[in-house]
Amino acid sequence: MKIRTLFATAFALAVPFGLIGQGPLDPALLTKPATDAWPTFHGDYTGRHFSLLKQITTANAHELTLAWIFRTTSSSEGAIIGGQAQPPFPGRGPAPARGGNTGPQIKATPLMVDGVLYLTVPNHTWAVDARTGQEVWHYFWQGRGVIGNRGVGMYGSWIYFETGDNSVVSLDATTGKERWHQRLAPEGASNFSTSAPVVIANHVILGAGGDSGRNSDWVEAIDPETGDLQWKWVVTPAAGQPGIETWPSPEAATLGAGGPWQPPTYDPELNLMYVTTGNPTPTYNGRAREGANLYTCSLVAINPDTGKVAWYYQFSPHDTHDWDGTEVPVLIDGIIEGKPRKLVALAERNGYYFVLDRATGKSVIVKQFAASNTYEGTDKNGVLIPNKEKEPSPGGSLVAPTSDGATNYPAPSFDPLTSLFYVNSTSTYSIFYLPPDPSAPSGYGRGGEWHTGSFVSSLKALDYRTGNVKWEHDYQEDGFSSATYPGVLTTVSGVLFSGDPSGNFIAFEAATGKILWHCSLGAARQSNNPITYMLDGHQYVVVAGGDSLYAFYLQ
Amino acid sequence: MKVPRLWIIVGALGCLTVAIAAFARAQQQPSAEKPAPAAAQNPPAPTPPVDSAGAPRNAAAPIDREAAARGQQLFLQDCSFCHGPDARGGAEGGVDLTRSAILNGDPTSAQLAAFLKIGRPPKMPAFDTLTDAQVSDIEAFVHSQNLIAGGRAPLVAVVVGDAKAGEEFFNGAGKCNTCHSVTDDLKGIGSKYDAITLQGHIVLPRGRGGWPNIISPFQVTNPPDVPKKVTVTMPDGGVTTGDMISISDFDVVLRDSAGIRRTFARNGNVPKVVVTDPLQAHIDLMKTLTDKEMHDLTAYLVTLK
Repeated sequence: MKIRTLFATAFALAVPFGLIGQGPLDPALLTKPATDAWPTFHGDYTGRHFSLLKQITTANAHELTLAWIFRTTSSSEGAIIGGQAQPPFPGRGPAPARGGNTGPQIKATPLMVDGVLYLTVPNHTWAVDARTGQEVWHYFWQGRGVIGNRGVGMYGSWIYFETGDNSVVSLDATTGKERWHQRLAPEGASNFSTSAPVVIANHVILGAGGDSGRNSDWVEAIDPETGDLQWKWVVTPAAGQPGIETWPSPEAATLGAGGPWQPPTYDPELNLMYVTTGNPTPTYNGRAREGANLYTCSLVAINPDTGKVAWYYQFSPHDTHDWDGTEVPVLIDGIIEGKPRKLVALAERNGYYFVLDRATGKSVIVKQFAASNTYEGTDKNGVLIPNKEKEPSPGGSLVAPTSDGATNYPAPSFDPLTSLFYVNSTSTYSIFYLPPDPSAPSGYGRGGEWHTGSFVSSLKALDYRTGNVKWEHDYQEDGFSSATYPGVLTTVSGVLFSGDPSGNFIAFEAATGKILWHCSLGAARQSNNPITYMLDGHQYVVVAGGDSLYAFYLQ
Repeated sequence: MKVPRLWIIVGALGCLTVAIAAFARAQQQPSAEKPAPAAAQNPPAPTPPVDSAGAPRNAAAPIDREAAARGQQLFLQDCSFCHGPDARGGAEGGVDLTRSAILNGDPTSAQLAAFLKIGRPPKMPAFDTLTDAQVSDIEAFVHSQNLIAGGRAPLVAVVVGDAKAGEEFFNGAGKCNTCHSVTDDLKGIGSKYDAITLQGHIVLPRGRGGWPNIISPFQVTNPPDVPKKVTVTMPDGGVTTGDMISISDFDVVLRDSAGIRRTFARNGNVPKVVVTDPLQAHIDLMKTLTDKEMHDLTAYLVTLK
């Protein structure tokens, strides 16, 4: 990991603000598990969602109590306004905020740096006092809405986030004032951008997604100071590039989407970041794009300095069920058959758990973890072989799981002490349809899906070396959907935090699955990844449920 | 592969409706200065929003191209995220507007304006700040997309199975006749639901439809919900039974036989809670049902008129 001298400049720019000492982000925090901060989307670069904090233990977790609530809908007046959309437009003003189509949903993982939390809902960014839950500033981007926003990235004293209309905005973390904004995708493009920027050295890594129209999707790196483009990697290949043989035509590939809509993880030693990609389009219509459709539904190892691909592995070749491959790539330094290995593990939307060698991309484990009925085993490279009979069809194909997946983008967690990989999952079926002759398809390809129902939702603890279930807790109610999958957090003291489909935020004993404590978040289920940090001698655990952020601690 | 006659009729009706709407539009030129006249005296009744099945729409039907272009800008800004940039349904589950009853049955945009004042809470917000001219432009854009979509096949060829094999499965391996009778509870079921709804509810009557498009062209009437049953036994031996409303590790909520909603806190195994699902046979079948068995069952049940 190279730490650039640019950071020195960033430190110099830091100005204390009001009563809270809002300071810049020390880049060293990004390469080690943070304790008094949550400085990047996954807490650190590994994607483990595992904390070294141990004030909250299996013995005292039942004494957890509410510290504060921050409600986005009662945000104060006087937001800083950016963006160029002309009224009238559906956002209507800075407060109450609105995101998605059912009111604001905090799907973002907040950052916490120097006593201040930074979080988003689509087109809104807040700085919130991490001690009190009081708003510090609120920035509002006037523009079209979008399905979600995963949060901000931070470099020194600067914040970055993506907007629903495909712009990237940089704010001054101390004041919320805009430094600059620029387009990520051209005006009117059918892309939509939801990812949280991740800062690696002097690169701000952005993802442009979108699978409902006709567009390509990509990852790019920009300069943190100027926003200048450093490199851009388009998920689907152009004519003459490797992978084009997996598409019927360059045009099909160019419009084939594959949105990298989740933040990557990163291995500083290998200098590789792990980018996950979404489904190809037209989504339900495989007939229009025969072939494996690289590099959609894949994990792609990319050098963050150059944008060059080191290797890839495809989870759902020729996907026709909207199973984005965008689940968190968790970096594990583990032991397989007695040998130390640098691994990356993922529980995917298609119902399979994968472990790869993260230096080479070679498959180590492919193991089913939830209901799935569309694959016919693996090929010699350990890649799943899709059953063509289960593609969407005129008469309907009964398929597990639904497009929501056996799991989804919210983070699983890996605890190196228990050697367990924890993931929330659902076993569920849909009937997938495709008309006999969907000519000139785009977007979803005019297919459709009838959700027949789910029959169990569980928190599963998988042995990372085998994918075997060590323990699982079946929730009493089933039916997570992609919008409400709760992320998972573990701590070195053996506590696991996550949520159930009934709206409870729960502390489990990580080794056994025993329930230690819970709090109902009401009708809004846990909607993001929980984070934890130490502040003034208290270990806080912060989680979102719908439009509000909740902080818990031991009083 | 059979296409039931009903579908052909519905398809033809839809086609006719669109033609009427397009004709009506051609007679009027709504503008900002001169509001469109009120709805025609006999506006076409809202009809099932169906594409023409193989019968292309009149591609030459006049559309105000300038209005459509203005409408496209508004549409991209306000509507496209849910309904897709081409109005054919999008990421957030917005319906395919080229098959919308409101848009296809509305020659004046009055219905659309009224609809947008309210939206469809909680999924769709109101867009009550749009002017009449803007609503008219949006409608022009969607109609232009509708014409582009003309000739496309809708989801009508759903019935692909063998009715006779379905009947055998119903009375044999599927054990459907253990709980159901085609002369009793399923009498006339083929007239109550369209094939997509019927097939979905064969798999599980609790399922609630399609995404991203409302893939059934009918206004679906779902069957009454079949709640799970729950029995709560207190430490003192008191027993309460009822229809389950919700359950978690920490509480259970039911509606008792008197219709009273009752909540019980749970602490481990106290009180004792037993849940049974009247639809358990469907859930068990869902895990093993082949596509052929499902198609055959549907082909059989659609014959029960």
